[in-house]
Amino acid sequence: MSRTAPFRAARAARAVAATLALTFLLTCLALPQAAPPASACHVSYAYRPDIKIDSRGGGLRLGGGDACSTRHSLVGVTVVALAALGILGVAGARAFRKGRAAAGGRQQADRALASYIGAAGESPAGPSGQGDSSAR
Amino acid sequence: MTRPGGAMPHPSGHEPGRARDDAADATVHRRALLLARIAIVIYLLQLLLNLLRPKVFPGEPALSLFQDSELTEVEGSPFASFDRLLAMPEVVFWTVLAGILVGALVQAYTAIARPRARREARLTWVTIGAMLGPFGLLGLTVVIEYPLQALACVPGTAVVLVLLHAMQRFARIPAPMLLIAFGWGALVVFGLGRAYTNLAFGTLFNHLFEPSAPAFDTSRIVTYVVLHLSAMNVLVAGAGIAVMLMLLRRRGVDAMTGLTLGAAVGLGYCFVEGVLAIKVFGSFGGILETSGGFQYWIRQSAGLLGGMVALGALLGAGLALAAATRDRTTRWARVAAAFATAIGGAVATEMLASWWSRSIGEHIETGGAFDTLVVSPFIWLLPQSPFIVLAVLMLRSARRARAADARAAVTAETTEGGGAITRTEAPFLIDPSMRFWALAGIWRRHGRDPALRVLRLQSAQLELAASHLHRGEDAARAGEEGSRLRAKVMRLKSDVGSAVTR
Repeated sequence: MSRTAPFRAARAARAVAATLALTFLLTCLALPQAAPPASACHVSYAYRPDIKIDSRGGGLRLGGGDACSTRHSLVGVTVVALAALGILGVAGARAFRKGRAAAGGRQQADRALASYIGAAGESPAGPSGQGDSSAR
Repeated sequence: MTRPGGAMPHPSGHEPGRARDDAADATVHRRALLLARIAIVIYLLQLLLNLLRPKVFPGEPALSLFQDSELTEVEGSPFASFDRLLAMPEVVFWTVLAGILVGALVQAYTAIARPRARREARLTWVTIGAMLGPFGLLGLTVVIEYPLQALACVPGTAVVLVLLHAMQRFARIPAPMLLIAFGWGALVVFGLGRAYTNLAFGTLFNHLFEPSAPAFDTSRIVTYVVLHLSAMNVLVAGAGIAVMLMLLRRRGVDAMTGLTLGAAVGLGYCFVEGVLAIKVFGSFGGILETSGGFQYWIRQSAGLLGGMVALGALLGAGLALAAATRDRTTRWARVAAAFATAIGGAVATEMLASWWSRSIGEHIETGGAFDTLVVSPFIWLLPQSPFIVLAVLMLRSARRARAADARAAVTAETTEGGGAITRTEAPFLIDPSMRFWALAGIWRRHGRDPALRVLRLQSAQLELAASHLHRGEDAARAGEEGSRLRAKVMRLKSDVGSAVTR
C-alpha cells in the first residue's frame, strides 16, 4: 500500500498523542493524592457521591441528590438517534448527487448507468478477452 | 507488478514460498501463545498477591473473591454495586483454573509428542482457547443474565459495526475477523480486565484499610482500582489487536486495519460494560443518583463512539503503524506511545470526569433535565474529546491513503486485462460515490436482487484489485490468489448478466 501519506500524518498525530497521553498519565497518577468525590449524576466508576464508611458505628453516609431520570435520558437518546439518521440520510444524498455528477450529470447519467450495467453483466468469451466493448 | 497466472513456477513447485509462510505462521503462533502465557502469569501473580494480603476482618477467606462482606450485603450500598461491577462468580473462577490446567497439559503433550506443524498450530490455538476462554464467561454471563438490557444495546452496536465495515472503503478486513475483534473485546478484554481488577481490589482494600481510623475514605481506593482496570483493559485489548494484525499480515496492514480492529475490540467491551452498567446503576439508582436509562444515554448513545471505541481505534492504529516499521527502536517507541495514549485516555475519561463534575456540580441542579441532557454528557465527553478528535484525524488520513491505493490497484487490474475489471467499471470501483449511485440506480431500475448481485460483484472486484498491492512479497501465492479471485468475479458477472436481462 502507499504508506507515505498516512505515515506523514501519523507522525504528527503520534507526537500529539504522546504528549496528551503523558499529560493525562501524570495527571492521573497525581489524582490519588487528592481525588475528590463527585456530586452530579453518576457517569463513571470514579464519579461517585460523597460516601464515607464510619467504622465507629456511624454506618454508611450516602449522597442524597436527585437521580438523572430515564425519562429525560430517553429524550436525549431519541435526539441522538434522529441526528444520526439525519446525518446518514444527508451523507447518502450527497454521495448520490456526487456519484451522478461524476457519471456525467443528469443528461449522461442514464447512458453511463446502462453502460456500467452492460459491462458488469458481461463475461468475456475467453481468458484473454478484454470484455470492454462498452468502454468509453 | 506480477502478471497473475504468468508467474514462472519454481523448479521445486512453490516450496520456498510455502516454507517461508509456514515459518511465518509458526512465529505468529509462538507470539500468540507467549501473550496468552503472559496474561496467565499476571493472573497467577494477582492471585498470589491476594493470598498474601493482610487479613483485616475476622474469618476472612484466603482469597477475597470468596468473601461475603457485610458491606456488599447492605441493601443499596454503593459497595454492593461496585462489587457487582467487578464480580467474579466462584464457578467462573474454578473454570478459569481448570482452563489453565488444561492449557498446561496440552502444552506438555505438544512438547512431548512433537506433532507436525499443522497439528501443532491447532494445539496452540486449543491451548490459548483453554487458558483465556473461561475468562469470557464473565461477559457471557452478563449478557445472558440481563437479556433486556443486552437487547437494548444491540441496535447501536450493530450500526457502529456496519459503519466500521463500510468506512474502510477498500481491502476491507473480512467480516469474520471484525466479529472476532468484537468478541475479543466483549469476552476476553471484559473478563480478563475484571478478573485482574477483582483480585487487585481485594488486595488493595486490605492494604489501605485501617481499622483504627475514625472513618475510611473510599475515594482513594476507587481511584487506584479505576487506574488498574483501565490499564489492564487496554493491555489485554492491545494483545488481541497485535495477534489479529499478525494474522492479517498477508493482506497488508496499514493504519486503517489497526484502527478498525481496535474500534471493534473497544465496541465489544463497551457493549458488555454498557449492559452491566445499565443494570447495576439502574438497580442502585436512588443511592447513586443515576438510573438505567441515564446509563444507556451516556454509554450507548451520547458516548457510544467515545471511550474504548475511540481509544481502541487509536491503540490499533498505533500498533499497525508500529508493525509496518522495520526499525526496532521506532517500532517499540510507537507501541509504547499507542499504549500510553490508550491507557492515559481510559484513566482520564474516568477520573477527570469525576474531578470536573465536582467543580461545576455545586452550581447546577443535580438530576435535572439540563444536568441529564447537557452537563453530564459534556463532562463525560470532555476528557475524551482530544482522543476522539485524534481518532477522527487518523481515520481521515487512513481513508485518503486507501483511496489512493484503490486507484492504483484497480488501474493495475484493468491494465492487466482478463475482463474481470473493464475500463467502464474502473471509475465506479475507484469512486465510492459513483458506486453508491450505480447501486441506487440499479435498485430503482431493476429491483433489489440485481442490486445485491452487483454489490457482491463490486466487493469481489475490489478484493481482486487489493491482491495487487502485495504481489511483490510472494509472486507464486499472489498468482494463485489472483486466479481464484478472477474466477469468482467472472462467476458473479454472469450472475449479474442473468439478473439484469431477465
